[in-house]
Amino acid sequence: MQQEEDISAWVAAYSDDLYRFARIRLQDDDAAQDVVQDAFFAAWKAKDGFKGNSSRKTWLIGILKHKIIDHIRKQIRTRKLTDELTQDPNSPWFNSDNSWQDAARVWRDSPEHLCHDDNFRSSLQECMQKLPLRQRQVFMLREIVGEDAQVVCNTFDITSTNLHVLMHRARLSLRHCLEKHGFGA
Amino acid sequence: MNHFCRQASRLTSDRFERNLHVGERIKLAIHLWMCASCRNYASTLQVLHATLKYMRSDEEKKIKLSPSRKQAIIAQCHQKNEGNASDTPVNDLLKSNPKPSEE
Repeated sequence: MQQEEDISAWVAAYSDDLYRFARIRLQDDDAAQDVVQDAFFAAWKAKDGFKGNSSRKTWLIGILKHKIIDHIRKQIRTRKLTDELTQDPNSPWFNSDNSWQDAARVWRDSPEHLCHDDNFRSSLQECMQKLPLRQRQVFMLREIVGEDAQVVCNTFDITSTNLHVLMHRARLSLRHCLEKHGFGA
Repeated sequence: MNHFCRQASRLTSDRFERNLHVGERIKLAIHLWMCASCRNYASTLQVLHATLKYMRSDEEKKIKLSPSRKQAIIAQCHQKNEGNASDTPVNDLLKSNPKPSEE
């Protein structure tokens, strides 16, 4: 197998793919660029460790994944996000008899239409920003990246029940917020 | 009277995350049949889920790393070349290559 030992060639061939991978997972331009740079640097330093039994891109993505998880964990540590799971923000959505405080409306727009609707995109962005950080990150990874549930649990070091609770709360908040922005008339 | 809506909303969300047990599925189906609010909520989540899925493939095509950052990566690695290469803890990590072979 041919060993291409030129960093410029690596960057030209793989940096957009790696950046795309990181950007979608972190939803943060600067952080995504930083982890990609870290990954390339780590890979370059360890290029002799590449055995060629996977494609170079797969190998680089493997390194990048570790960098992304490190980044997310660091964020969790610095922001002390543990209390998000113990509070019960369910109450704003339901009355004490467990009925809806504010009943959901029917959304008449189709997903194909909504996904090309700039208003919907900016409202979604705004509503996502209102979610607590970890809820947002977990929701992004699951629903926007389409990441496997087990991978998300491992990344955030949470149980699958925690994951279900976070997803449930994110969905309740997003539905409410998007309807306030006029979707679902 | 105690409503089932709070639990139904949780089950509606959980359907995207796991397979519901038979009992849960029956309870939810009966409740959705009777409760318009929960039915609306369930259909909203479907629309949201499908919309995000469409956006996923659409967004991905547009993302590119800036040329200046590409240059920065190349410069950093060249600098490393001039210094002392390799032998960091990351080496251990990199020895285990993922399996699939595409080349």
